[in-house]
Amino acid sequence: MRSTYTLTISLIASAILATPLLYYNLSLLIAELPTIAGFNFASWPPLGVDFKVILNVFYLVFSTLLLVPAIIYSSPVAYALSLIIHAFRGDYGVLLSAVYVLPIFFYGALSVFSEGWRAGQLYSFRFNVSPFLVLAMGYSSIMVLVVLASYYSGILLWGYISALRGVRLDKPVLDPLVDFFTINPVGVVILVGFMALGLYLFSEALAETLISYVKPSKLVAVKVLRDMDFEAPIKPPLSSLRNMVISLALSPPIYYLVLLNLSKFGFISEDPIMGVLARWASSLLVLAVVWRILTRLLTRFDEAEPGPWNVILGALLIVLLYGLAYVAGYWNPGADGLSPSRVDEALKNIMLGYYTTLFDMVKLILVLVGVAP
Amino acid sequence: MRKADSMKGGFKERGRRKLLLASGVLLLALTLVGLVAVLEKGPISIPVTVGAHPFNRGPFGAHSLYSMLSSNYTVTPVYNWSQALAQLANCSKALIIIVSPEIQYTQGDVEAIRGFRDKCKEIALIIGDETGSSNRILEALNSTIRIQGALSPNPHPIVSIETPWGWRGLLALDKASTLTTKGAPTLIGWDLLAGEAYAYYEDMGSFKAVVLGDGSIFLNQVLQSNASEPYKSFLSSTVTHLCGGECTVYLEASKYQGLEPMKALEYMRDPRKAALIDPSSFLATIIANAIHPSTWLPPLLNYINNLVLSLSRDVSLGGILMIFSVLALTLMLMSKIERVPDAFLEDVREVDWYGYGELSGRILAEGARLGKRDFLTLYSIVDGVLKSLTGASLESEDAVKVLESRGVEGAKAREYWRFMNKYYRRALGKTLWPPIVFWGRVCRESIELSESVLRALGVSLMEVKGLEERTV
Amino acid sequence: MSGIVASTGRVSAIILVASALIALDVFWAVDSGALGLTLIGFLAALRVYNAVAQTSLSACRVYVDVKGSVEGKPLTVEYNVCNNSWIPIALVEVSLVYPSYLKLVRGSPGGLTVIPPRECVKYRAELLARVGKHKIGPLKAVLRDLFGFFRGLELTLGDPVEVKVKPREDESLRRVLLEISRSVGLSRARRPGEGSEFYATRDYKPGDEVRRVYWKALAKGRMAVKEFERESTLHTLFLILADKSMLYGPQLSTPLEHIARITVTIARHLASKGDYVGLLVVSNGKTLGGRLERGWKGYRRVADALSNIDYDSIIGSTENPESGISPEQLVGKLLASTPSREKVNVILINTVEGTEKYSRQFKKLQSLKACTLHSFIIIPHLYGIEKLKAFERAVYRIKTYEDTRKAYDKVRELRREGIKAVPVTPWDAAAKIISKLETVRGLA
Repeated sequence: MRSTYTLTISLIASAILATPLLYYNLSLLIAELPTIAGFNFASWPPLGVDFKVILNVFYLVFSTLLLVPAIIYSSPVAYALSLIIHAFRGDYGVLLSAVYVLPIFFYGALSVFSEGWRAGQLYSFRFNVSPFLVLAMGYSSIMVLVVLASYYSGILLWGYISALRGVRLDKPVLDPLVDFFTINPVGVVILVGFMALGLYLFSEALAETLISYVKPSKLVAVKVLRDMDFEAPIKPPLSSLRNMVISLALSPPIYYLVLLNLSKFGFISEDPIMGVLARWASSLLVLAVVWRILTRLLTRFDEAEPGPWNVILGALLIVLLYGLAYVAGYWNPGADGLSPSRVDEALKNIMLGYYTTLFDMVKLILVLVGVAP
Repeated sequence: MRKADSMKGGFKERGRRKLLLASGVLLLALTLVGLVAVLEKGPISIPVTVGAHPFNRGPFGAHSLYSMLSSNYTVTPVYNWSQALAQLANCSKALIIIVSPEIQYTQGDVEAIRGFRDKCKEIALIIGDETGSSNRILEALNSTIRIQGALSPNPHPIVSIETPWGWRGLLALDKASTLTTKGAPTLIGWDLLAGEAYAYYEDMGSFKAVVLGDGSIFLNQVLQSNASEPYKSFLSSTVTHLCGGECTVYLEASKYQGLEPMKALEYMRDPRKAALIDPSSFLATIIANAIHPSTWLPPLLNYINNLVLSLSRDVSLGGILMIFSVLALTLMLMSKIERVPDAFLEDVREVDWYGYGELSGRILAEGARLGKRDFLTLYSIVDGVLKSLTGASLESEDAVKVLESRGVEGAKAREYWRFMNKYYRRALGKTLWPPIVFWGRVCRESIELSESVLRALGVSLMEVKGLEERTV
Repeated sequence: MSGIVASTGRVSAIILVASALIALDVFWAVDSGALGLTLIGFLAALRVYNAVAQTSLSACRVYVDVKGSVEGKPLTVEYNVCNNSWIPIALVEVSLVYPSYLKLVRGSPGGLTVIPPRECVKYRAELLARVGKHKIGPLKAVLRDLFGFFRGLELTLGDPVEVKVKPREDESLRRVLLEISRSVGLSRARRPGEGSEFYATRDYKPGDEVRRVYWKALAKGRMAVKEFERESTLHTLFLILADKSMLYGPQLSTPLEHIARITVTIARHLASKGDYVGLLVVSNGKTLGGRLERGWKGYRRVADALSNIDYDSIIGSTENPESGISPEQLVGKLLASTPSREKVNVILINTVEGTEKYSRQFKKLQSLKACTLHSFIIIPHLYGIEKLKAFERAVYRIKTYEDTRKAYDKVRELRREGIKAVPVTPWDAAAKIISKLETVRGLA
């Protein structure tokens, strides 16, 4: 039961709020008209056409068009977009002028009122005037506090950022990185973004933590808990590490069989460098594949009821193992499986070979991050 | 009643978020710190192993020896003799193997190896060396054997081996050096042609030594070749003899050169030198250097910085860059600020007329949309009333008389009867006349006409107390 | 873990402007960066205030008061929301939860308000009271930032209140009833018998009591005795089988409400005559009301039972067709409410749509020796017809004629099955029920 009366009022107010910017846009547009009229678009390439003017007019038209949804829906976002387009055309005066910036806040208030105000609510809510004077005073003093706090935090943080931007190092390797965050505008924007985010999130966390300690509310706590999604699957901690360990145990025979098959078909180069590279690549590949399959397999067990996928993936591992053994000539389906003595002998070599190869690479990672010499 | 979900407002979506233990920002910050540290440390250099190093898998490496031994014994590659000695606890039997050391032994090394002899009950030594670098060790351990160090006149001698422990055979040496002695060790290897000594065995009780004037028989290219069998069996019989059942093997790994990556790359261009290089450490070096941030990050950042700065100097390009920056900054901030759709509270939607409310609402709102079916219904209503009150059917002409008798004006009654039956027959499809019928209008007219006729019979369609009791 | 207050899409307006100000400073050295950060700081600080205000809102004390319990009169709901903290709460959007079948006649179903520190805000709304039991409240509330940048979690203020509304007595019906019964007082059967009211004189017969000799006639030489009109006591049980179609029609004019008015008016009339009266309402497998009681006690019980009718359970009855009451259960309930040895007149009221559901129960009741069943079948779609204009009424009649005919067919079918059912319309239900009762009394 939203009142049409309030909707009309808010529409009028909305139009009044947009008037300064609308006037500004239109006056600029009109000023550009004679310039555009002087362009000769008939010839190609057009004569006397300054594309900067065209771009400027395009920006102005776009900005003006955005004011339409801003007025109809009392939308602060549309208004803000219309406003910052001026910054893109290099005219930042409007962004620093209260006449143009303050309507954003009023648009917010207007949309709250136009949607939240119900017809006939003046009967439903009866007010005494005096407490509302207290309220008005209290609210305004809170707003003053809010503005002061934000002003000083803004100044302080910007000072800090400016100081950071003054940092110079004489380390040739680090200089480009430092320059990125001090001289490069894109880098500075990212830096400021993090700072601003930090300011916001810190105040948010601080307020909520303090409130929940100083004035705990059962109602709010229960409500927050109820709104959480309890259907989220729980992933056991360090499960990827666990899967890694199992994969490490499972990989050697597969790796060995893969290698046997590769050399059988001549894929392992005789060249020592290429040979090492092939061994590394295949050991990593095997580990990755086994890890992936195991993760899928075990995570499904962790998170939900085991489904057909678990069976398929488990079967896939076994088929892979036996398939490779068969191709390598290790396993003869006619015989009684693998001969134990050969397996026993082979397994040790297999494990040793695999881990030596793998640890060569692990060593490389350690060296890279500076743990080992 | 109203379901609870409509009351939840916009807060439902929030719960769907993934719960993260460490936030993305934290991870990003840590990565940045790590990056700075890695950059600060500068590019790394892994020395490429060259020569008879136990971990060199190249043809001139000793990795095969290392793997052969490690399948039966505990093998410790020694990178630093002093450290190895310091880590030595109770030692019963130790075997030290030195293959073609390329760097001279220092006094410290010598003393450390001497320390081995003092600490262990028994100590054995196998030296395969053509350079003479290991003479200091032999000297320190009071051995009488010395390696000449210079290439022998016949650099590829065929040596006959005959050992006290029973191994006999011929071994081909490569770039070997002859041996000399001042004492009386057992000669176990000599050149078949020239008779020069190439291998001695010396047994001094707690210290035994086997010295060969050539390290090449311990290298990968020999032990991995097709003709490796005699070399392997000589080696294993020697080790078995010196070690007995159990001992710890110390394999020299400290006296070989490590090559700088760039130098290694140079070596790789020369096929002869390439054989010296360990392929895995060479690869590791190349990959490590390629992916190390210090190799690519500073130039990349420099490039980006210069690009952005030159772009931002241009007004229109800078404007576009700024648009993207503003959008990126906005998205970055918005992504972290928790948001809900601004749903206003939904008020109760009252139901004024339950059941037939939809029909009555439609009738009230848009008047009535009447059709052929409604006309037929009306016809049957009037017909029913007539039948129940007078016994006459509306279809028969008697109805006119009956209506007249009930006070309906004669002409009006006939007119009504004609009207109703004309459209009744048309509706049933018994006639095609009139060809075009606006049933809505016909219905309206017939309702008005019927009402006056029905009133004459004491029944009404339009009054509250209607005709239900009479008709059905 | 955050979440008691969240931002709305409108913050992106401020963030856009702030980003633009920051970018201007960085790209073109405009010196607006601090202002941009100030805007973000403003959002942060505003959020802190909103979180505090939200906590104050959730800690508000709420007092609920509902006035009015007579059908057709206003039902005033009043919520007093008191802010105990020193924090002004601005703004709060509230919305009253009430059954959709009730109508708000004055005020708004919700609105925007502010709650001053250490003060109360009163929310009041008037609903149109309908007979039965209704759950009103709680008040849904959401904290809203004045600029619309933030929105709090939806809260409920106060607990729902249960309101019982008694049926209004039908004045015109009362007058009719008064006319029908020739006098107020004890009931007479229009037959000679035991009683206190003079009926007629007749010739003396041997065995007549001497004290009944009509002395005035004797003086004229005729031996006659006075006869008195026999007094009768009726035992009447109203049995309402309520299903969804009992609530068809516009508010206050539904079959249920109409029947409730008829029932309570007749019950008063019967009570005034000292008859036994009772009411049993069956809906969704549950029964309401019970025992027959004599006089005013019976009347009060009937009125109470009517004000306990739960609309939600009636609406739910059709959604769950299994939740009916078995004939045996119904008879059990019935016999439990009629302990008297006298024969009970059961006035069964039911809609056409419900007859299908209850036909087995009808037969079982009819076979009972302890009672006489008078069943009235309501045609629900005729309810509300008076709200339409003349021509619209004719159209409505035509459109629903098929249903009307089906309803009468259904009644005929019941009659063929031996159930004495009478179809009733909104305008003749009362008359038919009363005349049935008077006939019964005449026979008693």
